[in-house]
Amino acid sequence: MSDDEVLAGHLQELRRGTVVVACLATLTTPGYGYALLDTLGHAGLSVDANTLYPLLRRLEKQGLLEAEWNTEESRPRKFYRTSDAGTGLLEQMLAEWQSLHGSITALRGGSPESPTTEH
Amino acid sequence: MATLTERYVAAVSRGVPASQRADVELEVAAAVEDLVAARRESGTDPVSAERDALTELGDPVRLAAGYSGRQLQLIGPGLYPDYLRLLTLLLTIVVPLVTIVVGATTLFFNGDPGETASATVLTALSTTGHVLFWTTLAFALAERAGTTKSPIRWTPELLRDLPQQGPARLGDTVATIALGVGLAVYLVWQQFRSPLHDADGRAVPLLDPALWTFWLPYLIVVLLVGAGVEWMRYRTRGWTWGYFAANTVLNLAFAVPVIVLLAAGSLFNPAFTSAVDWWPEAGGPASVIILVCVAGVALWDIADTARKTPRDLRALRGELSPGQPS
Repeated sequence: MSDDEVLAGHLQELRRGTVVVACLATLTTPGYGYALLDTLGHAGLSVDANTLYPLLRRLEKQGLLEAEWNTEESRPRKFYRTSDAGTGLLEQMLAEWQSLHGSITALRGGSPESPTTEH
Repeated sequence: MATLTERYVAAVSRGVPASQRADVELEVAAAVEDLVAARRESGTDPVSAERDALTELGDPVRLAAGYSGRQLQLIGPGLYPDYLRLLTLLLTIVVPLVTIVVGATTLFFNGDPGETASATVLTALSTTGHVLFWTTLAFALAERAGTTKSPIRWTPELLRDLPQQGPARLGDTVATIALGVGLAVYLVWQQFRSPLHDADGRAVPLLDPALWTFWLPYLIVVLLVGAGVEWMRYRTRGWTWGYFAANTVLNLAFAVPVIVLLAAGSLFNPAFTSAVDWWPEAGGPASVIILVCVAGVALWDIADTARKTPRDLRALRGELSPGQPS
């Protein structure tokens, strides 16, 4: 396995959970599948279509997104919007994100009060 | 003929529960339309745009699994260790057991060596197939019933004992030597002591006395050399490849002539076999059993030694490596 493949694998692991955060954060203004795909892509968070569409549906089932069919335009589209529960979860995930970032920064800085055990 | 999009939507729809179908169909159709429209805007022709959009969404089975949350595996990581353990257990117990029972019954009631052999092989194959199929089916059903965690809690007590390590065991050596020497002594003894006596009151040997010209002394020598090798192996405290080679040669040197003599019907004394009416006819089931036993013992011993030799060599070299119990 080449170094590039190793890097790609680890980056994928690292990004996996961020798609949910990105969806919940973006959909505070209602949007439909393809528009979200486009927005995330432009924001540097490219997601595969076949990952995003099922994910939206799963988040809807979990009550984190509210969905509504919009039939006013030329084609019917399913519009998603972050629910109250989704907003709550988003806040918790962002707090976790900050806490992780703090932990990693502290570890890299090697702050003196953090216990270091060596064998 | 339906369009590619219609066929794609139908394919995804088949993979989701009926309750979600209508909604998923609409959603997938809308997604495809959006993806196609985006490609059309950048100047792609309609046919390629449709093809590219569907390619991007990928295998409909996979997409449907994403929607429905169904697994894309037969047996998941939660149950796989149990599956593997049960399969190993069944294959090592059930298959040999059924095969031996069927082989023995066919031999006993039918008696034809050819039919026995084919029945045995067929039984071994079909039993293996059944064990594999039914075990896999049971676990796949459990997986689909939502059992994703093992019902058996793993505890350290489940760990298997390690195979015995280290120097040769005196008990094994004594048994092996006693068997070899005992058989050699019997070959001589049966010449003079027999349950049968001829008209002059002399013992009728079980084995053909004509074999004394070569084969019987030869077999006695092979057995005694074998006992000697076993003793030397014990003194070396384990198997080496040299002893393995010697043991293999001796095993074959004993088994091959015995099998050939048996098959030719020249091992037993005709005077003995014709005098006892219960003696099985040559080529009958009893001689096949003896034949299979002689071959089986030799092959088993060679395989067993091949397994033990690398282990003993490791133990001999630098005694035991760190993580192993002494």
